[in-house]
Amino acid sequence: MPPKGPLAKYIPDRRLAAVVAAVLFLAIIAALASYISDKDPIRTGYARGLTPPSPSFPFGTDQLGRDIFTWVLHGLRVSLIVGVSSALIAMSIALVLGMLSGYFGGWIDNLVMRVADVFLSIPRFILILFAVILFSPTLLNIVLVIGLFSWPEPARIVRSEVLSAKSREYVLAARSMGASDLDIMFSEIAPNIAPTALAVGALLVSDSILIEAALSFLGLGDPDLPSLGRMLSIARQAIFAGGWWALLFPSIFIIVLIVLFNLLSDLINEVYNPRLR
Amino acid sequence: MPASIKVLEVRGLSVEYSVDGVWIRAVDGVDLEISRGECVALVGESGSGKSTVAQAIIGVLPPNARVSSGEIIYMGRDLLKLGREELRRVRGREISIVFQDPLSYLNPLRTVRDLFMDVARDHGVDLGEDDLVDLLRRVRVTDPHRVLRSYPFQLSGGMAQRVAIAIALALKPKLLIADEPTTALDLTIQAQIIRLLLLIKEEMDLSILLITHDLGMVAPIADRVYVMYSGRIVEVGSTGNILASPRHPYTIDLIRSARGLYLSREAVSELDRVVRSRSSSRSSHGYSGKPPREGCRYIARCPYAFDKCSIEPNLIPVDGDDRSLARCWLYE
Repeated sequence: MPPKGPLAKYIPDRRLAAVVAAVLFLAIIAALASYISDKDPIRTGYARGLTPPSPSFPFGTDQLGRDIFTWVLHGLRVSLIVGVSSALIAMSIALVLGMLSGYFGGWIDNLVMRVADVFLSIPRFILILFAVILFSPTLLNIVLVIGLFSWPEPARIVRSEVLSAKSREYVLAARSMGASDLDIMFSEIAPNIAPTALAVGALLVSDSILIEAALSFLGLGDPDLPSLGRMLSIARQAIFAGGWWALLFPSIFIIVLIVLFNLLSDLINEVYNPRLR
Repeated sequence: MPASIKVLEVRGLSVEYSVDGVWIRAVDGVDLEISRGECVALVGESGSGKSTVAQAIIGVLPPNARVSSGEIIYMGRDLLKLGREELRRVRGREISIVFQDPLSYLNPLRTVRDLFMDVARDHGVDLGEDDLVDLLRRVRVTDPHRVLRSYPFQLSGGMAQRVAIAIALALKPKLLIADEPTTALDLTIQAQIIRLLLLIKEEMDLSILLITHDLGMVAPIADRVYVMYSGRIVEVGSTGNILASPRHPYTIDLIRSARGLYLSREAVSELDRVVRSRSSSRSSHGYSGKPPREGCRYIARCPYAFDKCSIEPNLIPVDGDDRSLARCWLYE
């Protein structure tokens, strides 16, 4: 049964609506982190060393007495900011290059795809790792580096979608009626690749969140920011003193984020992609 | 026939396709003209090159095709000499086109209103709500407001083709190319669309180039007919003449094959007379063997072929004037 209400026109599927609601809920929690907890995430000494979850420290504290609950709320914010912004950067590059490459073909296509091949031939995480070491690991740099190194794969997907969309009869019809290349790209091709682009974008968010977590786990994250990955790195020591909570809660949040954005991607593809309908 | 302004004049048009690096000629020296307010039909079987002629006229040939020679004069300008942008402005605004299957030639993700707006925006023209309703009423859509909100797949085939015609007419073009406009439709709807084209032609002082393989739909609407075979125009004449007394053997076969159309007894006896008068020079009844490179294209399928057919004839006047022509030695 399709859902009712004003949003039903845009989100015509209950499961997708639930996932979108969950993502929005997490985003709101992250945005309101400073209001939900009045503690400072990176301040040490709230408690004396490692303490298990209790009413005043719902997720416990780490070995330096930092409040893990507050850390996780702020870490969620970092993850979402990095995930969404670097996915936006990567997707923007991918859309422009993929569109040019697929639509015009010829030397543009060759150039773009060979550059993409170069990027794809080196594991992305290694590239990002070196780039972050090379520049200072600030939040902005991490976002830029992840964004700038993540476009080749989505660009290839966009290109192949454009290739199939531009050979449709209605594109020939639009051209015959005097549509220019730009008109065709925006009015005829863009609406057809939008569902795929959205789905790929959601997947990129989840990829970027994982990369950021991995970077900060390795100690290459922004040292001034509480990140979920960095708490996992702290938990490596806590776990030997029986501090399972330092490992458990950040992990749960990372897993929930990754699962949500993967679900989002799958459902977008399923609900909006006309070929699967 | 009154002397009138030529809207379109195609002269010696040849189009070639590159297939595995070899250029194959699909349209070979086609001459064609359309006067103002005239409906001209271009008839031929699949592969005869008729759609390629249409694509060449509006300059949307596929990337592996090229115009190797000829001129396409529209209102005094050679379209082949126009720049990309100039040609783009001609398409849709001066010369419009309607395709075969409306449901695949209308973008399924755009509403009918969007489709109108796309064309208007492409040409920097403003179309108001009243214009859209008026256009849809012209193509005899009874509930234009509902149709404007619909997506193409929510319309029936006939309705979608009416919408496609309305969109093609949105910018008041002078020439409408209808490329097999009824082939994808039901028989009853076909008749409606043909009647609609006829009405609109009168109302909007439109010239129409009707491309079809179906001689049945030519009769009610076309003033003149060009018959195309294997990239060549093989016969030209008024619709009445061609349907009543076709001259080229290919046209004769085409008419025989069409449902509900029969050759008149006079036409058959006239043909017999012509063939008999030629019999002295005929080597055999029918032609067997490989068609010669220089010969008539129809030689292998022609029941009247004789020795002279190994050289291809020009278009020969068949009624003493140059309005009716056939590319056949029988009428020399």
